[in-house]
Order: sequence, then structure tokens, then C-alpha cells
Amino acid sequence: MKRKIPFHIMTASILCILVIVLVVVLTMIFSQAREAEPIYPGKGVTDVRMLSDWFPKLKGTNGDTEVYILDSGVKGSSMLVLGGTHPNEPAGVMTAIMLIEYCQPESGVLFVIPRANNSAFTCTDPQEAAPMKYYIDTDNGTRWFRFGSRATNPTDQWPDSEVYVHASSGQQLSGSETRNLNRAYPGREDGNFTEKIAFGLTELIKRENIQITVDLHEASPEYTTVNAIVAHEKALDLANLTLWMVEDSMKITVEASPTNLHGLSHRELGDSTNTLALLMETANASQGRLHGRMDSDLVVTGKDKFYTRAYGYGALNVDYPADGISLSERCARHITCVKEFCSMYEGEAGLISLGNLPSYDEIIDQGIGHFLKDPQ
Amino acid sequence: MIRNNSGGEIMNRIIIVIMTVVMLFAFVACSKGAAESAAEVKNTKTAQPVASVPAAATPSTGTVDSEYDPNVKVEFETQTNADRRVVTIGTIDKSRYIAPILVTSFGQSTDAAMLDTVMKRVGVDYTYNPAVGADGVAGYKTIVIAVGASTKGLGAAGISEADETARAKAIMKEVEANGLEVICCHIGGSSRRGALSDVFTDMVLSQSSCIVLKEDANFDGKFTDYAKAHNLPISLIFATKDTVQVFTEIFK
Ligand SMILES: [Zn+2]
Repeated sequence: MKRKIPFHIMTASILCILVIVLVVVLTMIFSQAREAEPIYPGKGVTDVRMLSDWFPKLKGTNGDTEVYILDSGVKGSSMLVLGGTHPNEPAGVMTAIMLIEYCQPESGVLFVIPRANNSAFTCTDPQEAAPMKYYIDTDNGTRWFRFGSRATNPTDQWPDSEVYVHASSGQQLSGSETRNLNRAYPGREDGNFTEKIAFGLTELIKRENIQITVDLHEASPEYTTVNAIVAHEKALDLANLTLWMVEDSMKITVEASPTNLHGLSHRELGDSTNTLALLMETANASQGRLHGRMDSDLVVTGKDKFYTRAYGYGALNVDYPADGISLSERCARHITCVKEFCSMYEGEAGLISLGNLPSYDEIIDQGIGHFLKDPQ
Repeated sequence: MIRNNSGGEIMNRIIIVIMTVVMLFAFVACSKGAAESAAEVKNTKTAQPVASVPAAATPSTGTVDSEYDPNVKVEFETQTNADRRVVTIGTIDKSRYIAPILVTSFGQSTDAAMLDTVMKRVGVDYTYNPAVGADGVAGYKTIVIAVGASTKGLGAAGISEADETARAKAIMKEVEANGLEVICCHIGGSSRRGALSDVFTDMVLSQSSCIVLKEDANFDGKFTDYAKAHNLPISLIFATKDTVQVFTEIFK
């Protein structure tokens, strides 16, 4: 007698196989998020270390991250630039990468951390339909960059508590802020994963005696603090002087770091170390609540008709032209201010001067891709 | 039924094994954040928009569009520009503004800190106290007030609008009683205009003998109209840093 496999078992098997294929493919796509974009250090980079060199507990974890050191060899002050505190704010990362690949300091030492929260680069925010990568054309080819999440990957720190209590102040915030690096400062040696990253950064600032720390961010165009420099009270004078240098080329304001809002870099790093703590915000449509289709183009061009329309209704805090606010323009703002923070700083340790950086107009005219290395 | 013979037994076992493998894979995937994986698959180049923002993906073409044309911008004619950075209408009698000088804020924006930065560079003796009380005014001859208000600044300083307004009123009373010269400074530009800012501006203007204004805040002519009507000298500046030039002329 010939055995026949009943139809329902047949169907179930096929479905199961399909599910397996689907899961395998999805897992493969999903694991790509752990691959970091290549960075090609330029002539100015004298050393590449890891954050765990300053805080060994980070070693071997997803929170350990590269620290690029650009030492001019000329005695002077030191500056730390943080990109990627929030990996869904690409202008910060791109500015940091541009400094690594292009800048050649003439005096002092520049420390650059392009992926301050490395873990947050390995996932995206749920339900945002965020692209995994965005693409920038250089003079000879296209490079890709990782678009990440605002917060630490839940696989590195989970679950979130209902309420996030900031350790040193007792301030209570929503539980979702537990994995936000910019609410974790100054960090704790024995704290949660994100607090450990913050602690590592604070350690670096203390031990290297960093005079100026700039934390590069972006914000949605409808947010109140945007196109702004936020400064700790010790750094207000430097921020004001910098504003004088850049206000002819861009609309920008200086805001004081609120004394009653804790865990942020411009508050806690200024309070707990000797550094002049500054934070910058540019307008990033892909981060907002009003944008249309979310893809690499939106991230890079910033072109979005809904934002332009919202601007027309007076709903935004920035001018939003039909041409968008491009990543080049956002990076130009960051780079120009970083350069001027250095040029206006007169510290006891000496000057710091960032050489070989394009001007604001050059970056906007030629695009950021022109100032990145070609893909290798 | 086949289920009862050995072939069915084997089939069942195979299915159980497959299901176990599927579950295992599912767990591996989940541990990497199931939610993110779902979001990301939507955006790989092959998968076309499973738009999570459907409203935005299909623009409405209703009457709303016709109300707004992004190419039409309301511009007002400014007297200052990058080459002509300071324009003073009227004559500032610099002999009126003598030491001791107090610099303060009405509205707690960072514009007062900017005045602090300016005064430092001008190089005159002054006292900077953005939150000075009415009892701290006596003894000064000149008061420089930054009138740009910011709800953010008030929030950051932990001061309510009502308290700040009350402080400002009390200070202006003391200023009048002690005969201080008042310089009204609005140097934060158009972003520092608004109902709250205007309350402080009006309060200060009524006792000012001179106005310093970053001109883009004058889009409705509020400051120049007032200066004209009350015969007050007004210095229009193109950018914040030009305050240095105006203050150098006044105080040096
Ligand atoms: Zn941010």
C-alpha cells in the first residue's frame, strides 16, 4: 500500500520551512546593524585608543568605543568632541568623522569620539521606520553610515524601570530615559550599562584634563532648543564669543544649561569636571514628528515638504526652506562652531587651533562628501 | 488513518523538531530586539514603503496648501547690514551714563549673559546680577537691562513668569525713585520677541533714555516707532557682537 502524506501535514511543513527561511533572512539583515561604518583616519590622527583605556570595565562590551587622538605636538589646550551620543542625530557623527579624516590641529590636542554611545548604533528606534544606513557621495564613490537609535540597545541594558532616577541628583524621569546617555552623566562606576559609558567619558575628561568638551546633537525642527549652543555657566562666555564669530553666517542662539535639569553633558560635565561643557543642536527633519517618508535621502538632504509647510504656518523654531536643511549645512554649523570654540578660547594651558578645516560656505557649496575620504 | 501508523509518527516528530528550530530562531531574533528588526526590514531597499507614517506619505491637496506659499517671505527693510553694522538714530548723550553700572535681565534669557560678555570686552567696571532684587538697585547710577524674555530661561532659573514680572515692576519703581539712567537692550533678535518679552520691553522703555536693538527684532517697527514718538536715541545693530561698538561709544 502506497503511503500518502496528508494535505494538512504537507501545508504545515511548507509553512514551517517558509518561517525558517524568513527568520534566517531577517536575522541576517538584522545582524548587519552590528557592523560599523568604516572610518579612515587622516593625517592629523596620531593615536586611536579605546574608551576602556580610561575605564577598563567597558572592555569587551558593546559600550567600548574608539577614541581618536589628534595631537598637534605643539603645547596647548585639549578639546573633546563627542559625536553619536544619539546615533539618530547624524550631523554629530558626520562632524566627528570629518574631523578625524580631515582636521590637522596646529596646537593643542583634539580628542574625537564619533560613536559616544556605540551600543545605540546597533539598533534603531522601534516604530520609527528608520533606515539602517544612509549614503553620502564622496568625490569618488558612495559611502554608507549607520543610522542608530537614541538610546542604548536593549540587548545591552534591559529592562527599563518605570521611572528613571538620576543617581547623583535623585531627579526622576520617564523610564525610557534609562538608556539615554545624555541623561546618565556624570555616570557611575557600578551603575547600569549606560551610566558606565558616561562614567568612562567623565574619566577621560578628568584624566586627560580636557579643557573644552563639545557634545554634538540634532533636534527636531519643532523642538524649542534648536540651532543653538547650550552652555554650562562656566562656558557661557566662550559660547557668547563664539556666537559673535559665527552669527554673520548662521542664525544661532546661546542657551544657558538649566541648573535643575540633571544627567545632561552640559550640566554634569561642567559641574563634576574642570571642562567647559558645551552642547550643540541643529535641525534634523528625520528626527521630528512631522516628516514624510523616512529614508536615507531625508536624512541627507533634509528636504521635506511637510516641514516646509509647517514652517509656513509658523509651527517651527527654525527657518525651513523648500530646499531642506541638508546634512552638509548641519555639519557646517557644527564644524564652524567647534573651530571657533577653539579660536576664542584663551586658557592657561595654551591655545588650541584646528587647522585644515573648510569654512562654513565651503562645506555648504561643495557638500560634506567632498571633505570625506573616498571609500577604500 | 495514517496518523495511527508509523509514517505519521515520524512526520509528527519531524514537525516537532522543525517547530523547535523555528522557536529557537525566533528567540535568537527576539533577543536582538524584535521590534527593531521589524522596523528595519521595512526599510531595506527591496521592501518598498510599508510606510509607518501613512498620513505623511500621501500629501493632502486641500485648501490648506493655497493659504501658504513657502516662496513668499515677509521681509522688512533694515537699515543695518553686514557692511553698515551700527545705525544710531538721534544722539546718545554719553555723559548721562556714569558709574556705578548695574547689568541685569528682565525675563532671564541669556541676553543678559551676553551683555556681561560685552561689558567685559568694553573694559568698564560694572556689576552683573541677572536676578537682582529691587533692594539691590540703590547706589547705582546706570542700569542696563536685557529685556528679551525666554520661558526656557525662566524655567531653567526656576522663576515663574509672575515672580519675574513682579521683580521687574519693583525694580522699575526703585529706578524711578533713585533716578537711575536706563538703557533698554534688546539684543536677542526676532526669536526674543513675543508677548512675554513685550511686557518687559514696555515696562523698561517707559523709563529709558536710550535703546540698543538688534534690528531683526524690529520687524513690526515697535522700537523705532517708540523712539520716534518719544524722541529717544536708538542704536540699531546688525549682529549681537556690534553691541561692543555701541557700548564702547557710550561707556568709554
Ligand atoms: Zn541628541
